Amino acid sequence: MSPIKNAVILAAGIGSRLGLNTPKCMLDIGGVTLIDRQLSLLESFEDVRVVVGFDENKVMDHVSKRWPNVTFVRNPGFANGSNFDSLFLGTRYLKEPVIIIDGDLLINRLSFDEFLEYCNEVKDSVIGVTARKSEDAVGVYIDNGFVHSFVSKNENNYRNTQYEWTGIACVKDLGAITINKKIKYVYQIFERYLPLPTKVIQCHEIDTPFDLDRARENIKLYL
Amino acid sequence: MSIAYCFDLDGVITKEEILPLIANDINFYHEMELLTDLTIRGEIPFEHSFQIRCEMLKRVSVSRVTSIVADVPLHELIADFIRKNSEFCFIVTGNLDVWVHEIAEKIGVKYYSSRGTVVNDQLISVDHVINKGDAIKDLKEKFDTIVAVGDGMGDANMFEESDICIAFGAVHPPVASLIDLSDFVCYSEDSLCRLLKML
Repeated sequence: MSPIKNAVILAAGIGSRLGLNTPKCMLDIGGVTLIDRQLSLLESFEDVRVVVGFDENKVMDHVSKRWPNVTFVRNPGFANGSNFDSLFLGTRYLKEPVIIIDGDLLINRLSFDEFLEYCNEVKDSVIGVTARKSEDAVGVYIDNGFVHSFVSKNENNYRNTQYEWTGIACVKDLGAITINKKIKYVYQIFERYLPLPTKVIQCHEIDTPFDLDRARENIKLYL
Repeated sequence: MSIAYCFDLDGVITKEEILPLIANDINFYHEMELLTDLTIRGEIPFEHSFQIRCEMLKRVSVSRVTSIVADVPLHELIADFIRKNSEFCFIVTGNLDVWVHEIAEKIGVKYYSSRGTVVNDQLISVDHVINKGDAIKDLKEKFDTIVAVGDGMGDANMFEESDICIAFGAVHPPVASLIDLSDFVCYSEDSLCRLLKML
């Protein structure tokens, strides 16, 4: 199996819960922005796309100077749409397997490399999960290395889930990413293919000021 | 489904803007660069600015211009893509046919351009300044999907008529108003060519 060489970072969102006048991907953590940290994990990839929306010019100016080979995909409707819209636009015209990454994640390098290695070994799409820690997480029910279901916060067995959806996945079949009125969130594209293999990734979503402070305190974990 | 790929010339196919290079011959490089820059940014309308710039450059013989233009460094990956897909590629340039036809021949591609009249190796008049949108409308009669690659305000008309718009920023950052009309933004010829091959 040839190694996966395409990656898409979804970085169009406003991040309103942080209340900062900057896109989340531009947050400085330990002197380096989130987006630069993520792009440095993807240096071996042949084709990297970043989906931009909120404050797109700021993001493109910053990223293009450091990473001139990144392709930017515009999502001008970011304020009214959902993460799925960014995914759809970001993967348009791609025909090969792709790694998708949410732009507000602080990701441990070693853990990410192990995830990639696993994605290159298995035939199916792979769902990245992490120990449940986020306020508004989507829980996952895992059995024997496979995700069997996604469990949202208002469901009864949410409190029994020990892991959550990270926002990182390997999509092997691009046909999974088609417009469907029912699909609003990225994880929903996997539901009809479950069970799917999974791997734990050490990462932190930065959604709230509390997440940001905690990430800055624990930065050494993510180097 | 047939696709046509339309490329601006200056700053997209070529690594430098052509008019300042011609102006260098008559020691007007900086002035021409300034005028060209203001035009790219949309601060002076293209048609008016182009007429003025051509007027300044009339002093340079057409044969001298074509030899300067022949030496303009090209983005080789882009030129290579065009050569390999020449039936589906078109240059859409505001520049004059009498000045740029040799580059187009060198690459082996059809082009839409502004038009001028030459008498005795001298440019006499600019007869028609291109509306890039009209060029795209013409191509739409022959192709299902139009892909456009540009970098300045002169490409806005082209983008408005095209299906897939790519702003290109390898020579200078693409103009913000053009980015507003774009689907993709690429800052290197590597990323641009990779994207074009996927479409």
